[in-house]
Amino acid sequence: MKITVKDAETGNRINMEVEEDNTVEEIIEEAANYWKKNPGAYVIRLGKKILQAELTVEEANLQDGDIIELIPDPEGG
Amino acid sequence: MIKIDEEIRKKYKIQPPPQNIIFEYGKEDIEKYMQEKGFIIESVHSINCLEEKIETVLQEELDFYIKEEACEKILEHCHSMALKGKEAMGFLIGDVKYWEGLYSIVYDIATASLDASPVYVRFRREAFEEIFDKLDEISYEYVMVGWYHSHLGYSSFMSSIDLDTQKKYFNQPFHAALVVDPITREMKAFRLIENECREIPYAIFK
Repeated sequence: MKITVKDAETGNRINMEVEEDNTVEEIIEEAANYWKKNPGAYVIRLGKKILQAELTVEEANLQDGDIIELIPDPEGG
Repeated sequence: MIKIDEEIRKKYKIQPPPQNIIFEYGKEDIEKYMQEKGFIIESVHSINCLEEKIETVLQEELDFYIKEEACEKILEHCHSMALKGKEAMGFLIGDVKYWEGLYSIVYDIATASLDASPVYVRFRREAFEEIFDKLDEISYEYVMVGWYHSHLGYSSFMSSIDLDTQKKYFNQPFHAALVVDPITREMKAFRLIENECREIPYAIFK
């Protein structure tokens, strides 16, 4: 199936093909590597829910055409 | 197997920067602006912050604009959290446009419940859904053009932890960090330019 990963920091998007047994972590690693980001530094959202990295595409109930978004998790001091 | 088909890069609209400027940092006094809006704190206990202060110089070129309503939300949030003795934080939501160079505009903010102390702040993990709700209300192709947070009486500057956040997430030439101190009555903006932190001017528009 085809999904889109959006980078909230730039508005850029990646369209990608994934399979049902791919994990969210693998998807984010792929996108993060492409954008040269640290994959572990982000909260991943699908609509109003946080996606857990260990879930597969099937378990996360990702559907064809879904958009998942990388949200920063900043710290200030 | 995962296969990347294509990247669709955000297209920057060609448009002149906002014209209806009501405040320009560097030309006007931000303390007076904050005072007029009622977002300063007269007296609190002094807080000793041990964070390393990153020295910066002020860039001349104006390429960062904040809508008045967004600025008021930021100042109000920082003020209300300061009254509780805690730092505030949120995302700067807006867009990036082009007119004789890139510039960024803050139209709104997104924030949520915080794990905050007088010298530290981050979002509570379970609070991100509040941010998602806010993002879902936005009808245009938004960009997180930066973040804001507050300091409590130890002035407006980028600490080493702030700089880490800037380098990790907001390292593009249009990204900014706003640091508000309602006690010392300062609001400064910073940006990474060639991996170096610089203070930048900003304008508030109607």
